[in-house]
Amino acid sequence: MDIRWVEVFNLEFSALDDEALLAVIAAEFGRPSAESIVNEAVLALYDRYGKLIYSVAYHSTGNIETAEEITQDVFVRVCKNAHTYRSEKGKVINWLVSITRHSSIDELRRRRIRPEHTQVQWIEDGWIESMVETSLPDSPEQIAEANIQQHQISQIIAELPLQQRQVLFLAFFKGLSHSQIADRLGEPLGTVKSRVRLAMQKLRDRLIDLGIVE
Amino acid sequence: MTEEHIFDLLPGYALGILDDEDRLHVTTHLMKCSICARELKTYSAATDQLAFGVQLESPDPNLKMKVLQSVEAAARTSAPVEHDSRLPFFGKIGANWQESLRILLGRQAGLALAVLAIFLVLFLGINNYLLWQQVNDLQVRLPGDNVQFIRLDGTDKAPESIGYMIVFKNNRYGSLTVENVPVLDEAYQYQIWLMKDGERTNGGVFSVNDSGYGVLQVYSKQPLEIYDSFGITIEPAGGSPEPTGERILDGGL
Repeated sequence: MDIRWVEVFNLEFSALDDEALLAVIAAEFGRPSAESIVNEAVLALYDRYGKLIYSVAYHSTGNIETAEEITQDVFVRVCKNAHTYRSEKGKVINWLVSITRHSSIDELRRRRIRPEHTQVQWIEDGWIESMVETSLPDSPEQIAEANIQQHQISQIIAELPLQQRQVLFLAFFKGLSHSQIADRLGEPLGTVKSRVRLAMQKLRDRLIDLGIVE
Repeated sequence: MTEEHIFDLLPGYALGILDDEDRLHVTTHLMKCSICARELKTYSAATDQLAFGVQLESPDPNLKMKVLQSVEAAARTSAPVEHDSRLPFFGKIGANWQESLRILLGRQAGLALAVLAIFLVLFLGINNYLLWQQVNDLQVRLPGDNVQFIRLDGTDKAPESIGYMIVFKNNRYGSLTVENVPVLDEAYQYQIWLMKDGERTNGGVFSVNDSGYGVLQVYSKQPLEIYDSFGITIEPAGGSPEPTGERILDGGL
């Protein structure tokens, strides 16, 4: 049998995919003798998604220090709950974003922070900086495909009317309910509900057209 | 009479922003309407993508180290601990157990009950230990659907050593990580053997760093999951056609 192997040092975890990294963390977290292994796996995840997680936390809370605290907390939660991750329920990145979003909203409510700004902070020009680092084990074609997909998503959002993007931002990042958004914007509740519904319908339908959502 | 679908409420439900009354209405409806449940699934998937539309911000470079420190601190407190009186359940028993035992032993029926209880506790304890071992073993062997995580244990020659072979489903790539492995003279290296039906195949050679930590990335023409087990031996630098040295780690699927 022709077996080709490549010996690598200090690069091995960047060669693992997200699920494998979580598997390593799930098996090793809390074992004193495996601290270096867990650290390497966490750093690999951070290198890939740390910026995205921090950005979600920052846009939710609007505060750098709080966003940093949430980012740290997210990775701790990931380590403690890695064994609960199920790939059939979604990608690792979606799991991470979900944890980040809920942690951020919980923090907003716990601290009773009233979001001061209601300005839309979606990416403006449809261009999205690559969130998938080149350290992923996928082929260049797969990395390019992931970046194109993220670019498409940002474009769909950018194409929504400003008022719809605004309510989506307040709902997704600030965790505000329909009535809270209506109160914040000084708009009728029915109008806010319509904007949320229309925005989500367009987003969902376009994602289905692109094959990103089934 | 069939209740109408609630399509209009599903986007808000997926975003988690419905007011209490609407949320309760949707939750109740979803339990009996598969059409709306399917529709909700698409909105939930769309919600998952919203984060990708946000303007990315660059965190402070020190945040990476802070994350690592937080994880390390959490790991120390997450290590398995023995049951002791600090735990609420055991604390409650601990405060009263002497009194309870004194009362029980003061009566014949109580004495018999106490003996029975001791046997029961012993039986459950042993059972629990065995189950714990099985669960631990399964967690290590089957951490996910697409990846197998095979633990390699040190042999008598290197009892402190430990290794993991990560094998992906239908994938010819795998990753070997070893820790606490003896550092060898430059004339020697470690060699991994992929075994199937008693046949050994060279999986590559590797060295470890000064801390006894080493990694090998393996590529095979066939998926690595076809192999039954893996063994690591000490061989002359560059490897051997067949195992000649002492085996220091082994483990199987």
